[in-house]
Formats: sequence, structure tokens, C-alpha cells
Amino acid sequence: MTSDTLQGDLAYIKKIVQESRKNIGLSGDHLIVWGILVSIALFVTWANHYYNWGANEWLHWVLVIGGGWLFEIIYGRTVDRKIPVRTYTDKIEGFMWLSIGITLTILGFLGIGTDAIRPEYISPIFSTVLAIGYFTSGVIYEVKWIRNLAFGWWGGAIIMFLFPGSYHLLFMAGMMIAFQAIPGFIIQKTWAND
Amino acid sequence: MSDFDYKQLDDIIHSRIRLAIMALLVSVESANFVFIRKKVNASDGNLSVHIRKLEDVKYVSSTKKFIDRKPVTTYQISNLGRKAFEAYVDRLSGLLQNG
Repeated sequence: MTSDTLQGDLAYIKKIVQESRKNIGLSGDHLIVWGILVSIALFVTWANHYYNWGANEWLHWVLVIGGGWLFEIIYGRTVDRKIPVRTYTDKIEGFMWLSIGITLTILGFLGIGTDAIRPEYISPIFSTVLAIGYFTSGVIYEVKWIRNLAFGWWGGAIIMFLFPGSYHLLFMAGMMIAFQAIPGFIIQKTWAND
Repeated sequence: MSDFDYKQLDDIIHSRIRLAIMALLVSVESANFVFIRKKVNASDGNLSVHIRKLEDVKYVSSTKKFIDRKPVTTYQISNLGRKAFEAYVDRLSGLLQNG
């Protein structure tokens, strides 16, 4: 046994460890579903205000958010089970987004329901929380454009905080498409076969 | 080139394919059989034999489940396996430094 052999073994170990850690477990499906679902819901809420439909907004949002969580449960029991490899990065990322989802659900329903948060400020608050998710995901997977999406969310939040109004429903719907659903499609296309 | 005392290295890990399996499993939480086979470039039979050896010494544990009516085996490195792998890498580095 020579030092060349041992060095070769160490280099081999390093290569496998690095390649395995680089495995991108990102799934665009969640982003697409939530992005489209919430943007439609925001548009309907805006239309309800603008055209005075008088529809029950609480029921509407319970159905939308409930539908999103139902999707997550079904997805977890079907698609997630088939994932061939789960890295520690995937685990951290998955739990981070789960905690963000729970946070947003509490803020959305209890924050507004208890009058702790004025409805016109819920969108910028959501934006700042979503920015954390994108920034962290981009950093841990070392994907700069995903990290940079956070600046879009933070920028949108600043605009909506500084200029409150009912327009923010449409503005937020546009952000959900631009910074959530479209990135979801790109992620799906880029890493579908990783 | 210097000679080394190979007996200082863990025999179970010191095989190219088992080393690859351990290196892969130490860097992920879990991986299924097909993924490992592709990554380490082994045949089904060859991988089964080597992974069994790692299971026998409890370096690796497996979970079997059925997905779409097909059996899928997922592997994880155990704490014992992780310690053994770390010790192996330390020993390897030590041998190189002392060589």
C-alpha cells in the first residue's frame, strides 16, 4: 500500500461526499401550487372588494389555504416517498418551508382574525417572511438566483408598507406569480431529473 | 513511495465499493438502492453483497417499503458506521502525514 493509493482513496471519498451533498432536492411543485393558488385567491379577494360581490372572504381563504395544505399532505404521502435520496440540506430546507407555511397560516388567520394585524399590511408581512425562505434556500443550495428572489420579496414588502392600499392584493398576486410560480416552473425544469 | 501498515485500516470499509457506499451515506440522510447503485457504479449483485457486509457489522441500516407495489430499500448510515468512517478517514490522513 502506497501513499498514492491512500491519497487516491481520500480524493475518492472527498469527491463522493461533495457530489452527494450537491444533490439538489428542490421541488418546484410546491412553489407552483401555492403560487397559483394564492395569486388566484388574492385576485378573487380584490375583485370581491372592487365589484362589491359580498362573498364570504373567510370561507374563500379557508378553502384555498386548506386546499394548499391538503396538497402538501397528499404530496408527502405519494411523491415525497419516491425521492431516491434525502440529503441533510433537503431536510433543513423542507422543515424551514414547513415552519414558514405554519407561520403564514397563523399570521393570516389569527393575525387578521384577532385584529392584531390590519388586513392592508398582511401582504407585506407575508413578503418579508417568504423572503427569508428564498434567501435561506438559495444560500444552502448555493443557487444565487433563488437567493436573489428574496430581494424581490423584500423590495415588494417595502413598497407595500410605504404605500398601503387595496392595490396590494393585485401587487401581491403578481409577486406570487413572478417570484413563486415562475421560479417553481424553472426549478422543476432544471432539477426534475437530479 | 513509502509502505504503510494497512492493518491499521478498518477492513470492512477498506474496499473501494464499500468505501464509496459509506462516503455516500455519510453525506446524506438516506438513499435508496437504485440511487446508491448509480452513484457507485456497481451491479445489483455486487452492491447487494457489499451492502450486506456493512449491514452485518451494523454500519448501515435499511428500511424496506412498497412504493407502487414495488419493493424499495432505503439505506442509512448508523452512528457506529459514522464513527467507523470518521476513524477510517482520520487513520488514512494520519498514515499519509506520517508516511
